[in-house]
Amino acid sequence: MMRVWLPCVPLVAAVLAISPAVAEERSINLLDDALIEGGSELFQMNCAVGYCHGSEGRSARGPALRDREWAARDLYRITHDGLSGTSMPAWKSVLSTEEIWAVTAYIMTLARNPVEAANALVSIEADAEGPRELTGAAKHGEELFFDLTRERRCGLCHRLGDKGTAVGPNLAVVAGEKTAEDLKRDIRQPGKLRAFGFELTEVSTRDGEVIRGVLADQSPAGVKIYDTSVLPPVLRTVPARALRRVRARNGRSPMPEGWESVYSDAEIGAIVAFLMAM
Amino acid sequence: MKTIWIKSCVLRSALVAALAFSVLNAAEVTADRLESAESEPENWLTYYGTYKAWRYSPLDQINRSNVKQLTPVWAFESGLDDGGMQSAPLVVDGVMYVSTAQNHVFALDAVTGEQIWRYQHELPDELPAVYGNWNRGVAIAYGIVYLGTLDNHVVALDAGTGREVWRVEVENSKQCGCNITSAPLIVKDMVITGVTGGDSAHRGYLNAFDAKTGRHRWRFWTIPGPGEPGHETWKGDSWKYGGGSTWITGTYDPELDLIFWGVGNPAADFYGESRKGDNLYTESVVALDADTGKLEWYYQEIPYDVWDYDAAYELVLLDIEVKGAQRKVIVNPNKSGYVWVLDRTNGAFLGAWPLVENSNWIEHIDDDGNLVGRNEPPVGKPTLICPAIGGGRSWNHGAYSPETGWFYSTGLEWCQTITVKPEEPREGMAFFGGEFQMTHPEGGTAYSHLGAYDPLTGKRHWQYRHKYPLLASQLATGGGLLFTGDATGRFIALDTKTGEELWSFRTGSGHRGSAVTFAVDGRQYVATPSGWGSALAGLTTQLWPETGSFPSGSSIFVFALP
Repeated sequence: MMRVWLPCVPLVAAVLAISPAVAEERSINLLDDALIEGGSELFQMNCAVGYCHGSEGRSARGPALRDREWAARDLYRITHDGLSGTSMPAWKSVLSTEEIWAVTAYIMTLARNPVEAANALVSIEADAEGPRELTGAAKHGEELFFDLTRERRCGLCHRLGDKGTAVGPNLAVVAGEKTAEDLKRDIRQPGKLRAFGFELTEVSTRDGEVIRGVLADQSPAGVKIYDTSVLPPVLRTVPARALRRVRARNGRSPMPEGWESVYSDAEIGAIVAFLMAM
Repeated sequence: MKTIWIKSCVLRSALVAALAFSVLNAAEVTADRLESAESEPENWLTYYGTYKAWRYSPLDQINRSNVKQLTPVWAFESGLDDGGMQSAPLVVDGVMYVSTAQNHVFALDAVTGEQIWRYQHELPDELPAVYGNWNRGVAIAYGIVYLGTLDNHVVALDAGTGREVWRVEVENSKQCGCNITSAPLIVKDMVITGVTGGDSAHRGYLNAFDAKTGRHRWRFWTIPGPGEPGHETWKGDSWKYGGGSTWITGTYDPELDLIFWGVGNPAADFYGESRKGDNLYTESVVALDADTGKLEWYYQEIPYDVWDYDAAYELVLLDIEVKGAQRKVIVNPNKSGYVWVLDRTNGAFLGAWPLVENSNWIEHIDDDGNLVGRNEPPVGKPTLICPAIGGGRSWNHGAYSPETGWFYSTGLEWCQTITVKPEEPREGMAFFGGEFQMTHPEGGTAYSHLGAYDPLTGKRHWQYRHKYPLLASQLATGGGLLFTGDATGRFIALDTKTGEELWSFRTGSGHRGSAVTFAVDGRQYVATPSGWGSALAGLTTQLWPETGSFPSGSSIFVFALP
């Protein structure tokens, strides 16, 4: 229940839900020592940091949190959803429901109106979708797919979960229709791929430029196309007055070649294992 | 937007028609014009004014003798005051381009303040939490205005209409915990952008894109990967999460064809055990071949930083005499409160001098550039360290005047208690390795100052003191004036020779941006951003609680002689 309140456990586990568990309602005690201690740890690593709320909520760029009057439910909601139009981000995809309540419990200890025993029990709805931990090759494949230490990587054009960029298709869907061998071949020989809905498109401009990639939008005002000739893809806007021609290339894929020089055979295998696990 | 603008052009006076011509003219900002920006002081073409990064203009219509008559001409309020106004406006042929917090960009008639167009970058709900929502400036060339965004995109806008031409996502901002808040730099036919992320578990870089198409040209990793020289200065996997951000705009020397950029602190900021080593190229000035991004030389100012200082600030290019010989130098104020002087042809160390008196992170820097008497805070034991994390100086830029030959910079006399805590990296998440609390210096009260210094030796010629941190950039002019602003909202002009305050005007909100000067039809103007609210503006409340009620803002004030 009280998971991840040790600083060394990664809090941002891959949030890749498979089977949504049934939402479970239960109570927590905002005066629980372990809860507050866990919240203090989380606060120090996520909220106190450098330029935000400062050590023990003394303020930095963000407002001071201590010595003010708070309603625990408000703190929870603001932390969960963020404050639109301000620098306060939503934490719902980073921290679990329990963790946000733990942070709330901690902040309430700094407040001018600390929680009283009579109001300490709050009912919470636990996360409906528990984080899914990938293991083995699939886990390694996920790291490779989104590996920010590589200039070229799959995530530059494909989004899965909350990582990557959605230029190309959702590979969780694609993987559902293919075998592992198909996927390996697609990565090694993208030239042979048939790309339904994402076919290679050529946009020719009046000044003679040809932009090749994935069409993102077409309207009387002009077109938007992801130029995939060099990664990361560039979203180009070509207004109607500058447009000469838009031509789709028969279902050919715009996926660039050369992934065998980016990923080894074993690494491609791991990436496919990751996709098959989606 | 464009339709409205054209319609109003038809209806309005010849002056406005001339402005329309200017907009077309702006399309003609070229690499040549940027390289010789000094020859058109009526414009402020690039972030620092010119590639020399002096923040100096020879314009002298407004000068010591008449500055008391300086009068506001127009003011512009963006309404986007969360994060304050940290920008440096650009002015090209009568049009001002200015970015604000939350990635809005405005084109304004520089004479009247009237809005020509407005662009709003659509931002996702979730942004990296550690870095604020401000922006420090745009770049312009080839009829395009370039903006780096809070979600780590580079966006190119038509300078005439504000419409998007291209955009590229450098990296998923949520995954990397990084984004772009600094102004891009145009070099030849490329747009160069740095990145934040020095306080996140992230590996820093600098990117070059084709200015016309947005296609990626090159990336320089600030942390060498496996097999590359310097990789051995990182322990284990720490290189993957070692920070090394490039969060402030660098500069370019066309003659040497080198791009210079300052690299920030290693991450975790305070806890260094897991990255034990020199941590190249954090805390370094790097010189890159402009066409390829390949490293030509580097100089590391602070090996193994455990205080969260930064070599990321401006790189002022001077040609001065050093020990009897003319040298091409870089003057680089570091967040540690020391100013390094390097030979920019080869990175040789020429000297380092202190900006602040309250400094205990080292005892001194020897003649060879070695840090002597390092005061590394131990794990778990609260330790007084000066200057504070906000720096012996903040990022806002100093100025150099060729008339006096002096470099003008602020200095911040404040301290902090650091408590180091071991921390494991979480990709893209804050990675400080400890926490800090601001404190006054022992036996005294925190304050700030603005001084005039010999850029090589640091010999001080005058000092102007202030109760609160001075957090705005300086602007030096040929009229013998040094402009800056303070936390209370006063925009002030000092005499470059004496430091005497000659004029001031209350703009209503504190100063955290970079003032510029320009001229249209022979009339000189001075423009300053006004708008309190930033990371450091927040930190000041720990020492000066009253600053918590200083109003935020997001405006531009423009002044001229009557």
